[in-house]
Amino acid sequence: MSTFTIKSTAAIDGVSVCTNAQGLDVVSVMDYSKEVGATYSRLSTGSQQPTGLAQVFIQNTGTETALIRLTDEGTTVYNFTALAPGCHMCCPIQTGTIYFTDTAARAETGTTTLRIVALYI
Amino acid sequence: MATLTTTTTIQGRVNGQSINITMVGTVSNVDYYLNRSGKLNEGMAMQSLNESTPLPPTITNADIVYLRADSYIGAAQGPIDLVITTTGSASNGNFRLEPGQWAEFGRAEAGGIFADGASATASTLENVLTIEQGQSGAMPASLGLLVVFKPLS
Repeated sequence: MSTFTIKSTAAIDGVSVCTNAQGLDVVSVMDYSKEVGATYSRLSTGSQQPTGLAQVFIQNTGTETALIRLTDEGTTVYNFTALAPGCHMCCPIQTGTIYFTDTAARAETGTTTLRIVALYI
Repeated sequence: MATLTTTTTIQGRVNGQSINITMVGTVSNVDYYLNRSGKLNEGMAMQSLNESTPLPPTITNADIVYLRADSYIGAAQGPIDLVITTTGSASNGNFRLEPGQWAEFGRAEAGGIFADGASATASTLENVLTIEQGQSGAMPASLGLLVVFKPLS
C-alpha cells in the first residue's frame, strides 16, 4: 500500500475557479482503455479485486457521448450521468452511506472509447 | 463564449512502479457558470438553483453541461452530503463526499445530466431541479460547487 496524490483543477478561459486534492492509500491500480457500444459494459467491479472499493476516473477519448452507470454494493441503486467526448470525470464513491462497487458505461449513440483508471483502496 | 478546462493528475507508487496519469478535458461554448463555496456548521445546508423557489441565478435559455461538487480538507472538517434532484423530482441522487473528495457529472447529448433508479438499463437523463449540499456528521464542512451552463440548442 502507498499513498497516492490526486489533484484536480477547473478553469474558465485559463482562470482557475476550483482546485482540490486528496490522498489515497492505494493497493492496486487499473489503467486501461475500452470501446463501448450500445449496451452497458462493466468498467470496474469490486468483486474479485484486491479490495471491493475503488476511486474511479473515466476519460472519454472517443467521439460519442458515453452514459456512465454506478451501482451500489447492494445492487439496489443505479445512478446515471453522461461523459461527453474530450471530457473526464471523477466518480463519487458513496451514495449516502452505501458504497458504489460497480462502474459501467455505454455509448449514447454508436460507439466510443473510454480510458478507465481505478484506484483500489 | 468561454471554455471550461478540467485537469486531473494522479501520482503515486505501488509495488515498485511509479504511476503518473494526467487527464485533461474541455467543454466549449460555455456562456455562464456558478462558482459557489461555503462553510457549513453542524445541521446546516445550502441549496442552489432551486427552480421552485427562485434563487439566483435563474436561467431560462441555458442548461447545465457540467456539475462538480467538492468537499475540502481543513482542520476539524467533516464530510458533506450532496443531493441532486431532477425536474419533477423524478430522480434523487445522494452522495457523500469525505474531505478531499469531489464528484463530477456531465450532460447527455440527448439532454439531461442525472438519473437514478432500480433498473440497470434505465438511462434517460433528466434536467437538474435543485442541488443541495449539507453538512454530515458532527463536524463543520467546507465545500465548493461549480455548475457550468451552455446555451440551449
